[in-house]
Amino acid sequence: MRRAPRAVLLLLVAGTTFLATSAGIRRLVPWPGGFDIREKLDAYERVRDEVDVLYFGSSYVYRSFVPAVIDRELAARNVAATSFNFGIGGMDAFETDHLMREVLADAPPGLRWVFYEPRPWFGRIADSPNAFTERSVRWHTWRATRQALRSVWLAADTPRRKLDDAWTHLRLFARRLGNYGLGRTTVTHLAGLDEPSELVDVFVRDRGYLPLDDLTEDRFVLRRKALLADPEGYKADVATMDRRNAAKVDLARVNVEAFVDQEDAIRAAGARPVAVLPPGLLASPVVTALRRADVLEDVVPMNSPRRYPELYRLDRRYDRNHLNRPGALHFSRLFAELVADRMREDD
Amino acid sequence: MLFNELRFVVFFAVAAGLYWSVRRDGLRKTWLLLASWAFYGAWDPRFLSLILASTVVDFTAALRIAGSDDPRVRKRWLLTSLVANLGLLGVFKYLGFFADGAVRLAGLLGVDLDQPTLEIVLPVGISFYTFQTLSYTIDVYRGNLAANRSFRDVALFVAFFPQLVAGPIVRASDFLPQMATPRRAADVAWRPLCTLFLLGWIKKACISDQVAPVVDAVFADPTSYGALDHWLASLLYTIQIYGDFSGYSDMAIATAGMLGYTLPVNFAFPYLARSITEFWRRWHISLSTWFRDYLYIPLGGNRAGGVATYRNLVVVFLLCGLWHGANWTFVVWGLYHGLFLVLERVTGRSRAGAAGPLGHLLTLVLVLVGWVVFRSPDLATAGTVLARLVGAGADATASVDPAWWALVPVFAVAQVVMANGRIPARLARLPDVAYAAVFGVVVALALPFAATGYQAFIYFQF
Repeated sequence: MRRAPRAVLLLLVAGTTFLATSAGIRRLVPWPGGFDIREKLDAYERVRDEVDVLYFGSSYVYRSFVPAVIDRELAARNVAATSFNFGIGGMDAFETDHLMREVLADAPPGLRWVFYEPRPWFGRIADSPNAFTERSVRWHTWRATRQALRSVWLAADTPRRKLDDAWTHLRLFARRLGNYGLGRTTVTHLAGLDEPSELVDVFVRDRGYLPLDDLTEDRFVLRRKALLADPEGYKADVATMDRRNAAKVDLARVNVEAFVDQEDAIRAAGARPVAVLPPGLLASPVVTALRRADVLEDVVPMNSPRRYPELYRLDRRYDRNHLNRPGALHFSRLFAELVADRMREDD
Repeated sequence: MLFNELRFVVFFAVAAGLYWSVRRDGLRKTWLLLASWAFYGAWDPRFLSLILASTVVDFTAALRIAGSDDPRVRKRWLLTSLVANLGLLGVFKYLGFFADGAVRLAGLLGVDLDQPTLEIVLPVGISFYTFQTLSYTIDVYRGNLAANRSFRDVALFVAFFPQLVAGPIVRASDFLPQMATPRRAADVAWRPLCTLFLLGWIKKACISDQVAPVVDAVFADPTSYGALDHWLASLLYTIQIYGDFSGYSDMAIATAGMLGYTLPVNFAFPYLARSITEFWRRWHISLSTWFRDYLYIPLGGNRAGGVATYRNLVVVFLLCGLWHGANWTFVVWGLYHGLFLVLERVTGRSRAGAAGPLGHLLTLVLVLVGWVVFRSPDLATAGTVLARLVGAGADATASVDPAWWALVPVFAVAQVVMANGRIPARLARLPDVAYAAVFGVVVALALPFAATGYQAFIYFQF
């Protein structure tokens, strides 16, 4: 055999055994610990067969949706539902999508509804302090990386910035491909040496909901103190929310394909997708524009202080962005009221 | 750009791909020179001018030396090369150190001088390429090497990217003759070079970089840790610096080999040495032989015997210590090794070594103590760590995860196994396809154990 084709053959052999071995190892790599993800997945496994409604998104979802209250309110309106809250702190669109796809790959047999928090699919990552975390590596599947590169391409950024972001996404994809640096986490997990967590039982009982009011870590308490120290600043931001939600958006710069693809994945799992905007301070003009353009099938916009002023009352907030327990209870009742009709129709 | 970065993999793939696809040797070398300058420029483009200055001076000096029969002219050009190269090294590496020393000395003599504020950035790899380029003019002066008339070839010898920033220190007499004949991809021993690169990468990314945070924590706050933790941290540093530097050397030799050039071996399992003398035959071989050939022997070596030999050893190792950095810790470390070399010569142990495991153990402990001084940011910290090693201070408030102890025997066994050469021999016997398959599997098994944050190579600072 001539040298060049032989070299290509050897490279192919090495590449194939590398990819096969890496793929085998990847099946053993757990979700990073310390963010309640593993605990939620463990809890979900225990109740999976009963669940027919899932909520996905960031901490806005995590701290707002109280499944027990929503299910009870729906039952009072003749809608039988058993829901589970998969909201996780710090989840952006890509990571939410990845978690959702992992869960939906083995969807509950009776799954009917998936409520998710639609966030803009921002490709910006190069200057993020969380760019190279294990969480970030985990969601960089080829599908997600391709969407991230698409977002980078569409963004109104400088070529240099786009190059930096694209290169960072490709590095993260490469890291995931080779399980780069994930060995210690994996071995610790396989050896059963993970820190034991009591959260699994809590999540089984409360179906994934945990109010911030119960937490004592500094990172949460400091945010609460910041709200209490500057209530006027909070109110000023609230006053601009509806205006910010209605801001003009150039959809040519938005990764519309990613939104469509996400909803298709939910439908493919046999469920109906509904986008929900929880009452935070993050304006969502993109979702507003997509709703007008009929890209999203169904949207429940609850991040409007004009329409839902009670959700933005100071006594219902834990911090600027999140509801406290009374706030979440109120939100959940309101949410059930809003979605009961469409869920009943679907029944 | 580090060898263990994805960026380097892409850079090397492009550089080597284009290099081998060009047929004309001259164009190839030009491309390699441009790639080398780009590699160095990626650190700090300003310092390219220093490399260029060194190259111009030594290219000119070598031609003038070779072109003249007048000993005074020859000597003048050699001195020009020495002053220019050592001058640059002195300014960028040692000016602050000596200025500080002068201020302190003046203070001791009762003269108050203002402490000068010098913020000189150390150009990466300056100690390596300075010694390398000096070997060229010295060898030409000695008549051991003909002056090269191609500026491009000399520039490539100085800037050749695989070994530019952290060695091995390549002699002109080893490298320039290789450039005289066109390199052929068919002559490259790809399999052993791939194995060597992978081994080097594993040493760096999976061993050295993994233990670095543990070592850093202990040396940053030595009073918070007890004796056992200090022993562990010192052992881990012993492993770290070997993994880091020999890993870099392996990758440098491998990448150079993939471009058709042979670089000298830099490490030969130094921790298996039975004496400090043997240690220096196995550790950073390209530096120790450079000092031997260009300093120790010109000083008289062991020809005069007795005290003169001991003096030469101490002077050479003092300068060897100083070569590593402008810090008293390096001076003391160099002296420490120099004194043990003298001691071994006096006792005759340098030839025989101590018998059996005791010799290994004793040498290892001596080397480890030296590394403590070498690693410490200052002599006070070194003193604290050494005191803790012998049990001083029982007020430990922090501790190192004892699981790290497991690495020590694993590393020791790996050294012995690799040193007997059976694994590389078995790999060499595999058919090409089986080798490729095994290579892919080993890469896949190693990558998960790489440290996630890239750590610069320790020797880059020298």
